[in-house]
Amino acid sequence: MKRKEIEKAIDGGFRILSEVFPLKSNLYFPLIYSTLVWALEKQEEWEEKIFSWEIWPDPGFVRTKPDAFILNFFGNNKSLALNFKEEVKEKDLKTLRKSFECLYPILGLKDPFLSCLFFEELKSEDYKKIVDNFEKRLYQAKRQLKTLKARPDLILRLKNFAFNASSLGLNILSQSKVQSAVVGLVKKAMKEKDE
Amino acid sequence: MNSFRMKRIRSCLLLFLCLFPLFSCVSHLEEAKFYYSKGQDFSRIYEYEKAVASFRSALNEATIEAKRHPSSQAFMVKGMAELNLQMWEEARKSFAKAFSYGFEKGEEWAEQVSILGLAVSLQESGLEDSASRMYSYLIDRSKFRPVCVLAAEKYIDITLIGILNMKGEEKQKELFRLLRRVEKLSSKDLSCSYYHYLQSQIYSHLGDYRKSFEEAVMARELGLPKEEIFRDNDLQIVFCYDKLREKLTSEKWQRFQSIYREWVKRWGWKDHETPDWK
Repeated sequence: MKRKEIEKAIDGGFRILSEVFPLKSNLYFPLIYSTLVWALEKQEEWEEKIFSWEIWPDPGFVRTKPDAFILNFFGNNKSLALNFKEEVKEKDLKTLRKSFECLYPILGLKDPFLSCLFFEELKSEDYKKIVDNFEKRLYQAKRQLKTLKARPDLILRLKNFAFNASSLGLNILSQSKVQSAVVGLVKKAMKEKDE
Repeated sequence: MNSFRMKRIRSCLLLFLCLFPLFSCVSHLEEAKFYYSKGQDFSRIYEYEKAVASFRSALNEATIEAKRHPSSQAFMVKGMAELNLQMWEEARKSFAKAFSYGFEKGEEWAEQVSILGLAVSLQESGLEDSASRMYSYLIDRSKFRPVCVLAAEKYIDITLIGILNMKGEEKQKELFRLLRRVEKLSSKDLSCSYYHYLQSQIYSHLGDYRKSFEEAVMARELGLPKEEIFRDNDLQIVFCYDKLREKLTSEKWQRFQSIYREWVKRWGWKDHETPDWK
């Protein structure tokens, strides 16, 4: 698939979202990326999937996992273990448990939306930054999703965007390639908007 | 000839117009039941978003049916859909209505849903002790499965958070007490996968990784209600595998490993520590 076509498709999604979200919103990337992924998977319940995300990242059971499970989670992942070297060594379960509540849905349960929301931090393996920004960014994203929910016209246009994207043959690319392409293009579009 | 044809067309049209309301009234209830059962099917295969969409459609259809042709069945399906969408107060009203139209258990269900809804509100307001007592009451008394399972989920969450702050003997004692409670629930409803998932979690707190593994396998085989619980259960299985590798003697480990390999093969995992969804 030609790069220009991808650019055009993503630009369409960006323009739709920029009507409702503020400049530099954290939601551009997760929304465009997950819209594309679900469209490629021919998921008809695309809308349900996006809005169910409002409740998905906070399952109650994450708070009640045993201490040994938490230590295993931090110890078994090399870069996680490096980020939390001191805490693991000292068995500082107070800090580890708090960090686990933010990181387990992303690195353990593999939530696609949260993975995009913290794409930059995940790429640089800066897990402590995820923990520090988790609540604030989650709150912002949930609030912005509510704004989107109140605009059925935009949801419809986003659906069309997903439909058009799925007909472009993006599925030839792997999910990680689509992710990299999207992040680059969203950044470029934001920069242009800034100027 | 033409007039005969016109008469036939007219009588067909008349018949259609007479029967249309009848068809449509049957179809709303049937549609509601269809979507409700679809919702249950999706829940069983961890398609949470699709399940919610189906329960919403069931609710829409049942609401139309209850307005046009109120009956115990219409209100019962409406109440069940609302219960699955966690609309406690609406579900209570629907079950009470179902009772008034002759559904015997409606009153009991309405009462239990009302207690559950109140307990959830108390918990959300930070009054966890009062909420916990209400959940406990429902676990002991309710014969209405959805209410009982939801109350058990909430009760165990609250209790485990309390136990996490305990130490030594007191912690062990409370964990065993909680385990007995879930075992009792499970023995009354063996096919409920969620109770096996909960037992697996408690065994893990107790450090009994073999039993935790067995319960997690049972939960997986029976099918868990939500995708995130399903994934957590898989990661619990991997965790038990890691812990047993450290704990078991070489001979016991070999035996366990061969059993483990069989399960992993059956589930189509990429390797012994990578579930298929990862």
